[in-house]
Amino acid sequence: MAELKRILLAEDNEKDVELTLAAMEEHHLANEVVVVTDGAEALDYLCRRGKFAARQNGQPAVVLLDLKMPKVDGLEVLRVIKSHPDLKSLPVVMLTSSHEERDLVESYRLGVNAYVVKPVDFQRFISAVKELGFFWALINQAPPASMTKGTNWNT
Amino acid sequence: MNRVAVLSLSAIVRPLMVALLGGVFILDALTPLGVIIWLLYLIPVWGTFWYPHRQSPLIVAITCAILVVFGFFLSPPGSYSVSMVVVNRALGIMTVAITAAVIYQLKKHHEALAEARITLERRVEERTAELATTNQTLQEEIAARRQMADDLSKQTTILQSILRSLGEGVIVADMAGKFLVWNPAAERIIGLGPTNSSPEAWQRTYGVYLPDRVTPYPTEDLPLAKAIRGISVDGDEQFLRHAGCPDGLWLSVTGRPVYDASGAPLGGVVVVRDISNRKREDETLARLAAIVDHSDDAIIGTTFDGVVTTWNAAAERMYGYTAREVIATPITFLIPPDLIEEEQSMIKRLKEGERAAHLETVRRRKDGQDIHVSLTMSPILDRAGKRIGISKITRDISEQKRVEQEMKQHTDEVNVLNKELEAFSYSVSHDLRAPLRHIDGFVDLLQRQAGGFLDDKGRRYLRTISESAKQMGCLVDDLLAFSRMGRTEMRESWISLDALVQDALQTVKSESPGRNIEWIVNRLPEVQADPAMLRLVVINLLANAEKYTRSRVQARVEIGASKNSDETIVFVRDNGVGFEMQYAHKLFGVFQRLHSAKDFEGTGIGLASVRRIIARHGGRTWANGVVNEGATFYFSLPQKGERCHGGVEANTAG
Repeated sequence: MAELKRILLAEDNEKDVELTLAAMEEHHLANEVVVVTDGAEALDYLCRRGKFAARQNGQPAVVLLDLKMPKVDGLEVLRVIKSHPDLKSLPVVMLTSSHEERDLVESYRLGVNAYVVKPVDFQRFISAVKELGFFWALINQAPPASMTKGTNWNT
Repeated sequence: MNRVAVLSLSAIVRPLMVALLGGVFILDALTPLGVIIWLLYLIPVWGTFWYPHRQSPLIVAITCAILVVFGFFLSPPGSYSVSMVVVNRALGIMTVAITAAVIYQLKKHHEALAEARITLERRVEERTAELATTNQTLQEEIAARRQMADDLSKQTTILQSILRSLGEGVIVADMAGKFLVWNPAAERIIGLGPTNSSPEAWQRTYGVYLPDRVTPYPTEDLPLAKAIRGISVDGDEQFLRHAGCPDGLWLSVTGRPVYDASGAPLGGVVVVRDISNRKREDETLARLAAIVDHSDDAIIGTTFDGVVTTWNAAAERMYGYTAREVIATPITFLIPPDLIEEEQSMIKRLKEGERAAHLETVRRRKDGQDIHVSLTMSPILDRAGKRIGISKITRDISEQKRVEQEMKQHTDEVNVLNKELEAFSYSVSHDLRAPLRHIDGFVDLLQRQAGGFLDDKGRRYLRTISESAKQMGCLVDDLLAFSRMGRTEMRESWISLDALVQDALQTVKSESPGRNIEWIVNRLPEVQADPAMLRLVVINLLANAEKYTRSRVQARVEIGASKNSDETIVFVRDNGVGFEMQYAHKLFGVFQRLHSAKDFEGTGIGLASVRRIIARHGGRTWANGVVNEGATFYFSLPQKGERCHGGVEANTAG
């Protein structure tokens, strides 16, 4: 059952990664987190290609996406996930520095499941991450594996 | 005829005479007749009277004398003596001779008389013939005269009928100025009939003026007066105004002297034509021509084949061609070759009945320079509505185009700047906050990691770093919100200020737990505004009031509004710390604060946001304050239009 708690974190800033992981560790969620540093890698992971081609385990319980990332940004990853027949049921949470309205509007238009603005205050950040982790990785009932096969798109 | 009668008479008389003479001679020869014998011979002599020959009595008398002589010798002697018989016979010859002579004379006279009668008869005949000829001539003459009279009467009738039916007025006056003819058209045109007025009074009687419409026409120069004096006048224009036509009318008058057959002057005739319509048209045309001439737009007339017919002064200025150069030439010289087709398609549309075609296009000046023009083409119609050409009104919009171009460039630049600004603030909101988050985050981690090794001072430093980072985060957020407020699109609608204030009050109350504030909310009107923005304004003002009454034991905040025809004014009054009025102008500036952050936290953005939002709605913001007594903040919203209360009746009914 440990696999159900796996979280995919797509974040290019290593300080943010460290803080996020610290926050999760605070609540004993860190060991379930897979970190990728850009959107392309996130998609590779979900689609089991590139360096994740050999990945055997199922899809994560939730995908935490940073909005601004090199190569493929968070909105693009969200668009691909939500328009892919096998991935669209994956819960996706936007984890971003800004509360720019247009990003918010665009994210919801694309079908994001939640949108979280990372607070400057670290204590609040910790509680936000804690709630996120609890909800998506523990409380929320993930879609059945049959709905998130993660087939390789290249085939 | 008489001659035939004479001949026929002689043809009867001659044998009768011979027979008579023969009979008498035989009787004489056989019988002694005595005296009677010469009486018998007298009978033929007398008979010659009716015989035509004048000599016949003599011949008969000689014959008788010879027969008497012969009778003497043949006649048997009777009882008469020879001497007596000789005497008797002699007496008989004498009687015959005398009778013959008388008859000769008678015949002579008779003939003369007959001759005279014949002559007379002949003369009578001749005269009668003469008279008949004369009579014939006279008859013919009379017929001719009658014909002439008929013709004359017919011509007079025709002339009168012509005069009656003429559209032009005809007036004839004799040498004394007495009117002889004044046809119905003259009466209709002039509005007056002939009068007995003397030529000197004509000007006054008929109200004749010079073309300036005010100067009385000189009496001696009136065309009829001139015509009477033997002077011809052609198409003299005059203005007529009298009681019958107060607005006046224009006449064209032509005058001619009238002479009789021998060339003696009889008077004068004038032909009067009403040219008021033409005059009015002339004036209209002159006005139109002036408009066309003074227009700043090039106004060009062409035929449907594109041949230039008119070319105004503005066209000369705009295109550099004079009218003389271009009239009667095809207009293609103005059109850049690649636009000919466009022109033709416009003309086609006009031909197909379109009333006007408009487009912006390019035309070529004489100097080869292309100019941007706004062109309107419309058909020129004649009185019958027939399309006889095209009018082209062209405005040079090169300058306008240039300005438009410039404007567009400016707008583009502004748009680029706006985009840059947006990108900047977007990047600020992302990238400026991240380091702050990191500072706070790692300070927190450091505290956990090394908190035990630090003394109080060290821990305070860490806390300060953390607080500064958070403060900076708030500043960035507020600044971004403020900047967004100037950029986001406004969506105004009618909103209930009452509901909005209540809602904002809940938010403010929930963010200030434990405060005991007396909130007094008066009745508030409906206003026209962007709901989200106005909510920000109200929250800012209420939060401000909450913040600056914090030191009061009995805090009191009042919200109210007043409305006039131009605007709605809303106020928020508190009994807080107030402010010094001399700094009132600084209240609404960005990052401007009248209190230290130590006393009252804040970024100095709130009231600046209020001012910016209200300004975007077209309203004003201001404040009154007294230190330690309180402050009142006002904002106004302009009245933009009456709200339609469509549901009022339904509500009252329900």
